[in-house]
Amino acid sequence: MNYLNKINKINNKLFYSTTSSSNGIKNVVINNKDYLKSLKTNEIWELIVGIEVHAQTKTKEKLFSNSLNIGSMEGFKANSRVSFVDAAFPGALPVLNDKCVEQAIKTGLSIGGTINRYSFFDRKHYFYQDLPQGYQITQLTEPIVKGGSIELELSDGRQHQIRISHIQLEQDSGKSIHDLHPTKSLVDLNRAGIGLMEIVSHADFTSSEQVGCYIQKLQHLLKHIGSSDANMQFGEMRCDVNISVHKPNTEFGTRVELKNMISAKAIVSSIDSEAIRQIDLLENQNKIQRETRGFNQETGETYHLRTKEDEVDYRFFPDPDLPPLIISSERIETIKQQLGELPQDMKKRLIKQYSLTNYDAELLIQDQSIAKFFENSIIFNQNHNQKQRDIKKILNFLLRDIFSWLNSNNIQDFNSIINENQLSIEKFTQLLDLIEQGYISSNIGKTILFQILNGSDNRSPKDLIDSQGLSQISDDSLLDQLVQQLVENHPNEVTEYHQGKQRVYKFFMGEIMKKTKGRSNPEIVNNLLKKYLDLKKK
Amino acid sequence: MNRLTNISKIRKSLIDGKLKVNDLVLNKIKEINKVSPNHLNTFISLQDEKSLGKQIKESQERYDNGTNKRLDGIPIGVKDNFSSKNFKTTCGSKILENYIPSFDSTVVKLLKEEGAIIIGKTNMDEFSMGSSSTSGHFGKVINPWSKPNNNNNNDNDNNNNGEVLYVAGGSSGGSAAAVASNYCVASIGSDTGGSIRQPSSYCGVVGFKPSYGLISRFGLVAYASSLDTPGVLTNNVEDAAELLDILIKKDQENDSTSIEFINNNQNQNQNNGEKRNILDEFNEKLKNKNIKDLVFGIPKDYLVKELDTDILNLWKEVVEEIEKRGGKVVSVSLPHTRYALPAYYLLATSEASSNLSRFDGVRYGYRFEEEKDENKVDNDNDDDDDVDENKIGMGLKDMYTKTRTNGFGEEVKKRIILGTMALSRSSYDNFYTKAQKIRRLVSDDFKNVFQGENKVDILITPTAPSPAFKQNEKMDPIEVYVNDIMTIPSNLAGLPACSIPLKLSNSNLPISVQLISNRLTDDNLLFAAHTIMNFDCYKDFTSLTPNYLK
Repeated sequence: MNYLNKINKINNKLFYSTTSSSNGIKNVVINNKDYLKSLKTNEIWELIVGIEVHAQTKTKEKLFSNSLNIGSMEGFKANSRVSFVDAAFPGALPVLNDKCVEQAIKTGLSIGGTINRYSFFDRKHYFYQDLPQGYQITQLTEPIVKGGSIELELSDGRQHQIRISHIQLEQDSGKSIHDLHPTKSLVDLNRAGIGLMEIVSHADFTSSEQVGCYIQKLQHLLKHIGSSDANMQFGEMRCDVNISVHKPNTEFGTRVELKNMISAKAIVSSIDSEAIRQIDLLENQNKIQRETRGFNQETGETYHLRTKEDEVDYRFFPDPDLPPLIISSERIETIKQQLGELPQDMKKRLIKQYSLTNYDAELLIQDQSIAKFFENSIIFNQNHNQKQRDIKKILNFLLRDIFSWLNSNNIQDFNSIINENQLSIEKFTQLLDLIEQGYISSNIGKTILFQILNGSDNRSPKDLIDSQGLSQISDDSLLDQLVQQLVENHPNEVTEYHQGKQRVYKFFMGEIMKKTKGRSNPEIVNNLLKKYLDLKKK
Repeated sequence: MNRLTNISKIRKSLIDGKLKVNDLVLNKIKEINKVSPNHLNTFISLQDEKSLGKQIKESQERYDNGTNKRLDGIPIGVKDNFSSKNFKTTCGSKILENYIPSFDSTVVKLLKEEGAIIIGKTNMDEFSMGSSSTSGHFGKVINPWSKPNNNNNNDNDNNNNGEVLYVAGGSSGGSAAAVASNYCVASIGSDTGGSIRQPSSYCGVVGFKPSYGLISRFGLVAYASSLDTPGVLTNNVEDAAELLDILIKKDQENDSTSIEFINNNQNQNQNNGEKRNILDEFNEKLKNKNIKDLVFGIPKDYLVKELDTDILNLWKEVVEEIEKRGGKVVSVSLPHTRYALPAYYLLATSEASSNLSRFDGVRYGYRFEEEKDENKVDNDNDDDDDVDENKIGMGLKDMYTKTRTNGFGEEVKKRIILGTMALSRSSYDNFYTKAQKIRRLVSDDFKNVFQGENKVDILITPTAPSPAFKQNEKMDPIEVYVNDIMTIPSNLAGLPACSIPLKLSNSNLPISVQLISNRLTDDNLLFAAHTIMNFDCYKDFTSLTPNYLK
């Protein structure tokens, strides 16, 4: 998660690829619907995309074994998180991890899907070195979640709904490493058997922008409800894309599958690139071949992986080692109760409750812990008759200063800085209160904030300020003396001021700030300056 | 040799100090190797001396200080498809020829916890696929009831020395022959379509397959998961009850299909779901019930044309003996029985084709290696970055193909191919799905009999259509499959079933009947088996010494 990029994404609508005209197509909106226009022929095409998202369940253990789920994280000794079940030793049997079931139910409920009270697991067979059982345990016939939808907000303000077909629970495979040995492939089974939620959409996407938007939204939702960390760069979330084009009011085209895309950006670019390729082929009277393609990020083009004919018969059948998965309605209800506020509801509430802009609210809900921190800092340690802290000021610190600090320090997780040694809620609100009381200026406040974030000194803001002598000089008599002296010592400038040269006023302010090293209360200085300047007026 | 001795008597002798663990165990080892090493080829591997010595010493110490466990020092044979820690587990296959597991199956673990000495791993058909224990990589098991050459037998099929060798049945043939030969006090087998009961019948021992799920499958190398049932082979029903009492234990940590032994009596709702102890229930029935309390059913659908005359006569005789003693016998119908065999062979092979796909040469077991060409000299200099494709060796696909082609035997490959076909996209609906439907119909047949108007407690059928057949007898594969026709239906329905040896046929081979009861009425089944085996006309059978050992 990149906090500055996030702001940019929202500001610049990064996913809206109107600039692909040089490549031969342009996005157009006709009657509220998205189409592609071929710039060569001026023909209108309709794009149809369906997405399969694989998200690793956020659970301590794997889907059918008790080995540690370390996600797709690198840096662990290869094959160090592998049980007899994961490595498919003779006689080892799968036992379903109930936590994975809970995460799938949470996910299902959060998209408004129906939890299947009776689902079961199927085996999908193929031989590969990183698939120890010789089959993947998945859910083909009766998946755990059916239906649901995700509402997208497009850049031009239109809404677009994506229907979810189903969510199935399945095992992740191990990893094959082909570049560590000249003639051998190496296998790491640490990832083998980790729980995946495969979230399968209907073919409801008609532009690449929608896809980008969907992935971002889904990623955010999974993180929000805590069912997956959903980091694409770590492989915790991966996407397969089905894509076809056709002329409006004609039958759907032949679909091509794009596999293993590693970032939202790559997915959007690959869809644009593949759409151009397909349109080009069709406009030149060629046929689209049913195939699986990959995406080369350097050339920005898709390339052939395999045709459908090369695919093996997976020989699906119900796994006889696992009884059907029966989920009680009481359990579903309990999980529903514990689910908490979903991002969209939270956003609506924040806007209403605190009169926020859509933009600020969107930033806050990017990470549930940020929104919580925000709301907490308004009321923390304030009893009922005290007034709430100023929302604008909190937002300024939070969304501008803290975000930019996170970004320049390349820190992904906001939560990781919320602690005693760094930015506790106590410290943050004390800092806000000190500024409010005029004990320090906003500028000094920012300096202190960064000191706190850097974490080298875990004293309270008050102690930090005092030890560095940074509190504002609010002593009227001292300032009075300084201002009076200044005005006396600069008769020429005083004259210029009275002749109407306003910039001279800034000179006086600057001189005072210089003398007090920025610690004087600007408001008091302002009043004093006016007083003494007026006294000199003849 | 006294096969009448049961576990509780041996234990008593050990406690009293009349028998030492060392003598008990080493005597078995001596017997196994008496005529020739591993005489009947009942074991694939025997426990090494060092480990055996340590266990004997520990067991004896516990007897000496009065802290012995239930099976302390008792030599038990375990079929070689149960994973045993640091003890080779081959499944009778070349593909696992040198595989030494790092963990114990639940069955082995429970036996060890009670002090049992796993004397050896018994021979079997490769991956339990067979009914004769002749298909394994480690050779054929010889039935101890084979005819020695002093028998004046002039049969054409005789070996050079005039003896006639019979198969032990399968796939748990090693386990059955070992118990029949007194090479161990009892043994563990697995039963997917009759693999405990049929060899028990051929070798003349008690073979008990409990209700599916009662004994954990964890560590049992899977053949067909939904049918595989661990069970016991013993000299008598008391021993079976004792072992079942130790092995029946819910193990959901390791096996999702493992269940509790609970009350399943549909007629007495008040106790439904209550946890039970099989040994207590069995003993209670021995004390308070008799044959008059049981209703026996004779399924006329088991009267097949392949049925041997001696066996048919025994079946009739058992009915007469029961009626003589006041037991109630009724005729019942299991109309879908004739579809059970084809359904079984589709379901079992489908699951097998899937379960056996983990044997790919990647992580353990046999892997095909290309023989090094000694004449080929490596002329490449080291700074040459280009990799010569020809020197990379086999590709992945090639390695899989060669490993599995060479690692599996013919019967296993045949069944993998059949199962792969049944699950393929174009055949699935016609084969796998239909077989599943038949499975349900077969189950319903049993349900109707057990819960219908007659309220049958125990079904009586032959265990196999014939006594043991001769080694090397050329048989049509379909005919071999028919061997399982009596045993398969109870696997399809997950019912407890046992084979009890009652007498010798006219050709001096053991013959048995099979008893089947309703799911989770294993205690009742033990009671019925015990009652029938102790009829005056049958109770002497287990004191007979098999021909080949005389």
